[in-house]
Formats: sequence, C-alpha cells, structure tokens
Amino acid sequence: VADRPVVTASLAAAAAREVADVLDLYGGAVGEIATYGGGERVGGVRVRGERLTLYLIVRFGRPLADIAEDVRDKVRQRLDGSWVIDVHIQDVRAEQVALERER
Amino acid sequence: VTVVDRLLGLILGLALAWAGLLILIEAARAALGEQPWLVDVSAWNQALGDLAWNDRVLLLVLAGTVLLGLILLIMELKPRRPGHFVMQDQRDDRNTTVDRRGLEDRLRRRVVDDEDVVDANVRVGRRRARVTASVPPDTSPRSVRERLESKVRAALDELSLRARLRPAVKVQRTRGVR
Repeated sequence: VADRPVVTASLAAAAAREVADVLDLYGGAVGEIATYGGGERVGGVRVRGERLTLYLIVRFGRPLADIAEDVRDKVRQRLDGSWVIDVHIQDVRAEQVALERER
Repeated sequence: VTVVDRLLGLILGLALAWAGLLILIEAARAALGEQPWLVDVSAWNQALGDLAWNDRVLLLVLAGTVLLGLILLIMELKPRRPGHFVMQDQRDDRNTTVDRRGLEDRLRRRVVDDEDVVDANVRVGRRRARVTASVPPDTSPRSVRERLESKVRAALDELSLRARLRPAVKVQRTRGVR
C-alpha cells in the first residue's frame, strides 16, 4: 500500500468518513489538496512519505481532539501502524447543515 | 492580504507577459523592416531625451512610485494572522491542527448560542481571540461580557491549543428591537 499513495489516501479517506462527526473531507478552495496517481484523485488527503494528512470538515459539538483521535483509530484499522496521521480540522459546521447533507 | 497578494501577483504577471509579448512582436517587426506596431521607439527616445530630472511630471511619477512601494512594503511586513493553530497532542511526531476560520466559526457558534446574543463576530490573531457580540438594547452588556468571556475561555481550553489565546470580548447593544 505504501508504494501507492493514492490507494493509501483512498483508504484513509473512506475510514475518516466512517466517523460520525466527519461531515466531509476538504479538498481546498480550488481542489489543491489531493493525492493523485494512476489517473485517480483523492481529495482532502495528502500523502508524503510515511505521513498522511487528512483535511476534515467536522460536525460542531464534540471536542475536536476527540474527533481527531476517532479518525486516527479508524484510519489505523485500514492501514498498517507505521503511518503518521496528521489531522487538520478545516471547518466546523452546525448540526443542521450536517442533517441536510445526510438527507 | 492573501487576496491582495494574489491580485497583485496576477496583475504583475499579466503585465510582464504582455510586455514580453509586445517586445517580441516589435522586435520581429523591426527585423522585417516594418513600422512599429504600438511602441514607437524613436518617439519614446525623443520624449525621454527631452525630459529633465527636475521636470514636475517626472517628480510626481517618482513620488507616486515611492509611495506605492512603501505601501506594499508595509502591507507585506505587517505580521499576518496564523492560518491554523496546532492542538496539543500526546505525541510530538504527529499534528492535529485547526484552521483559523474553523476556529473562529467554532467560537462564534459558542457565542451566538448564548440566549442574549443576537449576532457575533470572532477574529482570532496570534495572541487573542477577539469577540464582538451584539445584544438587544434592553440587555446589560457588562453581565453578558463576563459570561461570554468565560464561554470563549472554556472553548479555547477545550481545544488545548499550543498557542495560548486570550479572549477579548466586546459587547454592544443593537439599535433595533429583538
């Protein structure tokens, strides 16, 4: 997995989305935050060596540190333990917006 | 400042690209023995040759250029607000960060959750989280201010940011009715 950054990014993105407080991943104002490879693009995740950074839009409410830890736990379940996982909270949105998205 | 930077960068880039293209066209036309297209070099040469250092127009243009340069220099040297804040983590080898706008939004939501607050604006800098809250005309700003200050402080403590941000709350009465 490590030699295919886009696969790593894809697995990490899917894992992050499993966390209830994660509303979405943030791909940047013009889509500049992404990992590319093999004609694929995964927005909101950057993979650099053994370090990956997730850019998240989260639900307002729980402490951000707890949400970040939940995300790390989920990502670790999908990837091996050697990855250093950085979490960047880009935006915090209200419950109402979250519910609209889920509909 | 980022928007100004990008705009100035775009204008400068376009101007340089246009100037380069123009020089290329004029050089090609001169090589082919044709008349200048937009830049009449001999006329420019003549006009600049006639210009004296104490010419009023020249001094005005120089003063304007110096002023513009100083304004840009001050704008660029002015310390910028951090784009994100690092949260304290049990491990040093990884980062959990929160975007400044995300942080401002989170604090703003905490403030507008207060029953007396009609609207609020939050601006986070390097050391302070400045909150400006609006309350109805019949509400005492002092009591609300203290409450909001502790709310913002609690919200900041909860985030455990490495940078110690101090809340600075200003409460103002709205002119209209609730």
